[in-house]
Amino acid sequence: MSSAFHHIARGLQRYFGKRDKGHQTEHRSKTQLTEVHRRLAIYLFAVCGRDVVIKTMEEDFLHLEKYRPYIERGAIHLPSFYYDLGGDVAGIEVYRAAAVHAVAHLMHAGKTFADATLDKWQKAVIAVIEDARVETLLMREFPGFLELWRDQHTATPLQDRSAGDYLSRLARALLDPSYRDEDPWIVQGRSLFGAAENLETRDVSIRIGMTLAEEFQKKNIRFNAHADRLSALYRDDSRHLWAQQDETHAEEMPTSFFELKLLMGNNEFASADEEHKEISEGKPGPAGKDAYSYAEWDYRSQAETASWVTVRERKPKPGELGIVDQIVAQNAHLISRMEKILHAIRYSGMRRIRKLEEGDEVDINAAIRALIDMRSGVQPDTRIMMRSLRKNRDISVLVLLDLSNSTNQKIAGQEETVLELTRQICVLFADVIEDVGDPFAIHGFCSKSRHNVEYFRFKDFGQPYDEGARALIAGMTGQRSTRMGAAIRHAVHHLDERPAGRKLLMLITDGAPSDIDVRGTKYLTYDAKMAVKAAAKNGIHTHCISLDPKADEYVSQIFGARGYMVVDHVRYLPEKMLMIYAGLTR
Amino acid sequence: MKDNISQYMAKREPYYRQVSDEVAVYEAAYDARMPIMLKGPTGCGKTRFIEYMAWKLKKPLITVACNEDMTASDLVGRFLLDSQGTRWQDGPLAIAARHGAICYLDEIVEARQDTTVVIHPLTDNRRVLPLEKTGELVEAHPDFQLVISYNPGYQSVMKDLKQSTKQRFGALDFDYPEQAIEEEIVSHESGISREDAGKLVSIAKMARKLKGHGLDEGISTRMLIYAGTLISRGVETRRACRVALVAPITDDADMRDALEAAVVTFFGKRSEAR
Ligand SMILES: Nc1ncnc2c1ncn2[C@@H]1O[C@H](COP(=O)(O)OP(=O)(O)OP(=O)(O)O)[C@@H](O)[C@H]1O
Ligand SMILES: [Mg+2]
Repeated sequence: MSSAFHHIARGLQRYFGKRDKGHQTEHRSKTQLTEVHRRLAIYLFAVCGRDVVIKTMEEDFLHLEKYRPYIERGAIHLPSFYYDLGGDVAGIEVYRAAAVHAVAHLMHAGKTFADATLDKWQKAVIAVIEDARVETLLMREFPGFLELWRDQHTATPLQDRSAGDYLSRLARALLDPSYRDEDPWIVQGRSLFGAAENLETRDVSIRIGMTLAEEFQKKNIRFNAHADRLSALYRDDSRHLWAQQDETHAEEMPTSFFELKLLMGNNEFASADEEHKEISEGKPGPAGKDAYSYAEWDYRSQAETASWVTVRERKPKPGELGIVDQIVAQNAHLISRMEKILHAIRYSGMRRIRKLEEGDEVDINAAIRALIDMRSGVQPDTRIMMRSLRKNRDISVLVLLDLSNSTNQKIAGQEETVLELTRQICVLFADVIEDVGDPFAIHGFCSKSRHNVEYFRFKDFGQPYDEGARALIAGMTGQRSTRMGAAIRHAVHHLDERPAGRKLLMLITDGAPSDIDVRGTKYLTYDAKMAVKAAAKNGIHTHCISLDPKADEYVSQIFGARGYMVVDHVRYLPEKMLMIYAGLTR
Repeated sequence: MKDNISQYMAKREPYYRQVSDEVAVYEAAYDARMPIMLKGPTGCGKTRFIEYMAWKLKKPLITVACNEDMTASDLVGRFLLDSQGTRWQDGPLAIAARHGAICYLDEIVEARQDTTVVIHPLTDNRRVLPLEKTGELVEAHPDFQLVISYNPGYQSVMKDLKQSTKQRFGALDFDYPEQAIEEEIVSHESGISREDAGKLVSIAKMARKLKGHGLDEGISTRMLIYAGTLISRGVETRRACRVALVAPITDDADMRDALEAAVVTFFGKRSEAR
């Protein structure tokens, strides 16, 4: 076997802590990333005040460096598990140390270094200084992180054989003021770093790193880029510091779904036009069995084209009930919060009707007033009873889901697909609205040209939210395009059939309207806007939940600046739902 | 009545740590008798500030905690029945207006909107309080000033002050003070060391970033003082933090874990009682 292979195997052992094969190792407890993912995410949010994308590293046993956390395009990649270390350092602590360290990099990143002129050794030293720089900056805000990281460093002055030993000692020395190390190179590193005036930019890391790299020549120890790594497991592999040629390094979100759709729409331009046949003109209404025809707005002529689109109601297919149950179980805390909020809004409508001759209880103030009047010889007001009324909110809610093909994409910077998030939101809403007892329906749509806008009714107003309905929600899939206006018109048609009272149409979508027979999005955007306006005329309040963080422009065009909100994680639902309902009940 | 109003005078100087220029600005506002609104999250020092200012200006302070069942008579006054017949009793607002006190309406948004409008004639240049029931028009004493507090939290999506009320006030923004000052306050009020107070503040800083992202409110200065007080009475630090900081603000298990991890981050894993 080649020595390289031995080397990798040794490294793996070190990583997994299998220093002596066999006994003990099997029993070491470990912490899985999936178990702690959400806790870590919350913790990181608390550190930096924003969402951080945490991903599981792909397991690739042939590349040791993969077993260090790394940062790529703004996302933190962590191993799928960590063994609990000795002492009382549990695996979750290593995760926290690693994640917070990576966040320190993200918070205090600068320009990537141009690395053309640097050799591997220089890079390695610079990376150690850079680690220390970002940790120091974060510790200025939160001095307590010293505790989190300190325990992970185990290098001692006795380790003096390899360049890796020295790098590890330098890393420890720059972090931990109580660590003693008299080696001149370490001492010099400490004093250079301590004397640095401005830690805000990366320049200081380069400057100190270069000096120390040069100085190290005196030791006459060779550097091996593969073997000489830091012993502190939580440190990332520093790849994000160096510009890479083959990859756009911008820390940006993946292409928005909006743009993806545009590309699709152009290809199949006007492919299905001739299919258009015998659909009856006139009012929206049945055009054949389960088919409804609607007008569409053409912004170029500023006029409606009558009976232009056909919406066809299709039977949705049921899926695994377990999917829905799992969503409910995983989000129990959110659901209970939302229920609390919704109940509060509902009953904030408590009203006392005073000045009644006959009522449920005596209005004590009125009674005293009457007594006073009697005693002072004035004619009293005898209407001294009152009644408490709970204003019934009476809101019919129709949740309309965009089920186009783009929902199969992952959400910008996350592991979940749009469809999964759509389903989660939908299940949470259904559970909560069911709990307060408002009538609601859940419908969905996709489209394949103006002749075929498919419309699915997962749950209807009159229908109970039972296993049948939940199975249909579990079974929803995403395909085809997004002819939003037609779908809105059809949803309005269903809402119109509801008895009077407030009506809310909540559209959940990830992108601009588009369809295969229309170029671009302008035409359908204007049409959707008109559909929303028409809904408002019918007394229907529309609100859009956009799952695309970059959707502001067209969504606000369609729904108005206050008619939409972006939700890219169910965690934000309670607050957002409150906003929607507050707007409604005002 | 003069005797009665003296009970509203502070006996001792309340401890207040100035955060920026709020004391000077308030003094100028009082000089002009301008109505003032103190805005800020719960437990950040609004009440303490007004207590301190009243003491500093040597004025009586009448505080009313508002709630949704409060009616205008609770502020203005009402007739009471007694053995002789009926007797008018001034409400706190009327007392303050007559005798020249600072009237502090705490959490005014909690009161119903029809209640809040009774303050309108007192807060524009009329400076009068009409007592409808008796027909009296109380002219405000020259020393009288009205101060309200207001927490622009997410509850206020539902409850908000009318613009016509808001625009009668100058507003002082309060927030949790910066690290060093908050440390000083927590340490002073609870008796723990500066160092431990600093750790408590760091925990709060993390939690405050989660406001609106799973937490309705961040950890307030008041909560930190509670935690500090428990610690200084011998409760083990992590236990004290759980009781005073974590458990009160969330029931979400993962959220609790993250907050408790913040406690561990700053107080360490070793749990020795101090
Ligand atoms: N600047 C400060 N100086 C001194 N003590 C302070 C200061 N800020 C906060 N405190 C402390 O915090 C505690 C809570 O403050 P306070 O009661 O004034 O809060 P608040 O803003 O009125 O809250 P709420 O809106 O819930 O009434 C006080 O009892 C006091 O101990
Ligand atoms: Mg207060």
